[in-house]
Amino acid sequence: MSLILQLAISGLSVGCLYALIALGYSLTFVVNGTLNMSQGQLVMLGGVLMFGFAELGHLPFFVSFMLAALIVGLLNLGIERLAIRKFDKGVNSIEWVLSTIAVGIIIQDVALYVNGPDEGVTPSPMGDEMLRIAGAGIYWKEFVFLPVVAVLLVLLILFYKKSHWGLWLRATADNRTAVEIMGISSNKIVAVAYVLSGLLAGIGGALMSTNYAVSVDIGLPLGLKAISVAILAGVNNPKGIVAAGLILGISEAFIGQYISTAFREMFVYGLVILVLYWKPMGLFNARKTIVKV
Amino acid sequence: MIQLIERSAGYRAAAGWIVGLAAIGMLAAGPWMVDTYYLNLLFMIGIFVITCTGMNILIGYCGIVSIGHAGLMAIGAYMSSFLSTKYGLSFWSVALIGMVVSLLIGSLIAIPTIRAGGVYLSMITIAFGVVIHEVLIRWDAFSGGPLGISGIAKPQIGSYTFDLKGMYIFVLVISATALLLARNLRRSSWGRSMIATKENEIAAASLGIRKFAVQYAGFAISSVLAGLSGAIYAHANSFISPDTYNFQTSVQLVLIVILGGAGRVLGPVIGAVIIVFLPELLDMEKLRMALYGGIMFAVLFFLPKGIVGTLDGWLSPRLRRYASANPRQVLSPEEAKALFASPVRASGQPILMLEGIQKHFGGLHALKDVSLTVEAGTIHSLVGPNGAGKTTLLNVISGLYSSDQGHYTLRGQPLIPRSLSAVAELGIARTFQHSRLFKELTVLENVMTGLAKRAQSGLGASLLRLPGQHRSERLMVETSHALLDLIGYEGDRHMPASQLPYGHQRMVEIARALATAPSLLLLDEPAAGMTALEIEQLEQLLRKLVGHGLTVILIEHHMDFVQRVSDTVTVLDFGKIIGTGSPEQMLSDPRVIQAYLGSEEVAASAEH
Repeated sequence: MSLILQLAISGLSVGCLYALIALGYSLTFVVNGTLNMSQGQLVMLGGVLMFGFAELGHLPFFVSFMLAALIVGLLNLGIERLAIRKFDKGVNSIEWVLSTIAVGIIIQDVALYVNGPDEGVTPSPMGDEMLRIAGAGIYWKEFVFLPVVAVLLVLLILFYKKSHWGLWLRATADNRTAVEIMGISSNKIVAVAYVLSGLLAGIGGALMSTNYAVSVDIGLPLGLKAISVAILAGVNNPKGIVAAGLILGISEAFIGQYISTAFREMFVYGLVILVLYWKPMGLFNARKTIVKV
Repeated sequence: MIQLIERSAGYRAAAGWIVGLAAIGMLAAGPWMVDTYYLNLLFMIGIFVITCTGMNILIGYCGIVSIGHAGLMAIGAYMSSFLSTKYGLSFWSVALIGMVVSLLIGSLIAIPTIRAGGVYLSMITIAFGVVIHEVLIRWDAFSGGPLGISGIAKPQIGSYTFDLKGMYIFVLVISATALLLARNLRRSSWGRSMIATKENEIAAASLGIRKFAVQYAGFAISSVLAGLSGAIYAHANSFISPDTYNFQTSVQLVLIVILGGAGRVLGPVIGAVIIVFLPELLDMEKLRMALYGGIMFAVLFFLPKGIVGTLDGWLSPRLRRYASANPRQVLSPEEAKALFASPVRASGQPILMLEGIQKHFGGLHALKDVSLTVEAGTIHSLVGPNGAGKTTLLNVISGLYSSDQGHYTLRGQPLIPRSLSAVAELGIARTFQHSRLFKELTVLENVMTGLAKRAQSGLGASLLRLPGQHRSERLMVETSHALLDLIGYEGDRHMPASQLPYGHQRMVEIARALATAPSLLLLDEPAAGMTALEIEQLEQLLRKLVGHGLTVILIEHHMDFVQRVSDTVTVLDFGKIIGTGSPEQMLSDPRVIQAYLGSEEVAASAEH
């Protein structure tokens, strides 16, 4: 029983990170129908920067954290400017898919060149204490992901509901032309969405590095896992993404324990394929888009 | 004149063949000209050309970016190597099995992802490549784990064992064949349908082209070619390991296609030559992937059509100047009649009946209990102010939207408009409010795309360009010319549609819709943006069409035009029919004037 509880909590902790990263896809996709295929590499960069600043640069933990998140957020601003804006030419364009993949490859290879293949874990301020719940033991540094991500989500919701930027983002998601007619530059709004998405990636990576070993190769698999979450939920459905992220985290924990760690990834991708057979637009997706001709 | 042009085209085709054969002949002399090291590089170029020709069909024709084709190459390579090392089967049979398994597994991925489309597809194919790589590392019994499979037998024919020279010639022949197949495909209905679907899914569907069928065909061809090249590589190299087939390889394959020029037959050759020789020239160990990423980015930024596409874009207008006249003839009445498929002769009978159509968009009640009868052989206009629901009604009839409620009958049979392509097959064709020509295709090819459903050809026949296929292509060209003559299009017919003036685009769109041999034609504001002269031409055309037994439903805002051509006018306002009758009667009806101009105008006009 305690093992099950332990697996569930541990799965939830990693699941909320998946959800955080996958939300990064959703934030931009709803605004202009594009997403950054190098999101995974951005998460990796957040983690590697965090480790570099805190462990190698000996900067205080929170300073490193902020720096890692901000750098990745700003980098995504540049990516939007260079790799998205010129190539976003309507529903069927594939150029932005290729250009952001190219960005991801460059980020990963340059990071490998600068950082080398080593992996590292940033010591968490939570220390190495265990939390005991009903006989189940879980590290505080892992458990803390849950409240931290919850707070981040609340902040994100508040930003969307209360700030004028949030209003514009929601409006652009609804009808981009109408927003432009109101005299608001939709380019600027898309850029804001990309910065937010980059911040989520940076924060996700920095958080991840406090409990898991991060190296330059984690980017691609993480990005794929996050997109699996987004596909399972429907990429324009943020609530669904949070749910799907948590479900995926828990199932991974149980599969790793009871079946095999080797097949964990294959299980995830197999599930995604099955869901696509059954519901091509995602499990929780209710919204139908209307084509105008 | 016509003969002269045809002869010059014939000369150019012959010249193309001679240059191609000469190039292959020179390359075939390769083994006796260069040392083993360079021969190996040439062999690798051949392997890439085979795979990338398939991917070119997928990316360039279908617009689907797969970043997992290294996985499909791996399936061909491992399947054939496993069977030949374990059971001693011959290369020829295991290569075939490798192709089939690659096709099966490729289909498993393609079927759900093509339906989901776009970015999902790219993501799933990346994941697929990653999973295959993982499986190869972990499934020792099959793949030999990280060490791979070694000692794979070389192919044999009788007592001859293929050495590197032999394999090189073999790969040369296969890649030349693959390129020829890709070229044939591009000149067939399948190729045109692929490009049409990529460029404008909705317009393609309105011609009866099913997106899934053409895109799946593209994926299938690319899977088979990837499996084949994998098998050949494994048996030439005698050794394979998982690291040959990772994410990086998949990216390299995509890069070859877009660097050479997606959708250009020779693109993969140029791309492969550059990608194989570049690392040799630069001699770099580190940052090789970053270099590839940089090249990909630069290509997208500066050469979006790739090298071959850019060269072609520069050369072809200069070459075409000498061969741009069109075979133009005056159609005899019999010839014109042959363009239309057995029209419904009985005028005056209802061809289309709508009863109680309701359509909601969220809170907007776009169509309110619309009932309408359209008589065969007439021009029935829908008029009404903007937002009245005219286009929505057209979309509902043509199957783009499904209505929430209502009954339809077409020629007395109940009609269930399930999708655009299904409705198109029933003989209802349409044009769109904004031009939806396939810009990458020429004017003539646009019209030929409309013929795809009438003259269906098999995928195999199209790839091989069998004699029957050749004949049906000729027939399609003639029919398309005749249709362009019918609508009175006099411009260059081999010009890409993207370069057409707006009025011409509208006319060509009508010719394309007519190519499906419809009995009912739906026109959404065809005269918008046309000059007075063009509107006059359109008017004559519509009369001609009705003379051939077609029925036309017309949405139009040019009221004098509507008044001249229509037999019946239906007025819509706020999603409701406010009247149906003769044009004179309807256009002077005060309710109609009120709907268009507001109530004060009505009061003013009533005073007079």
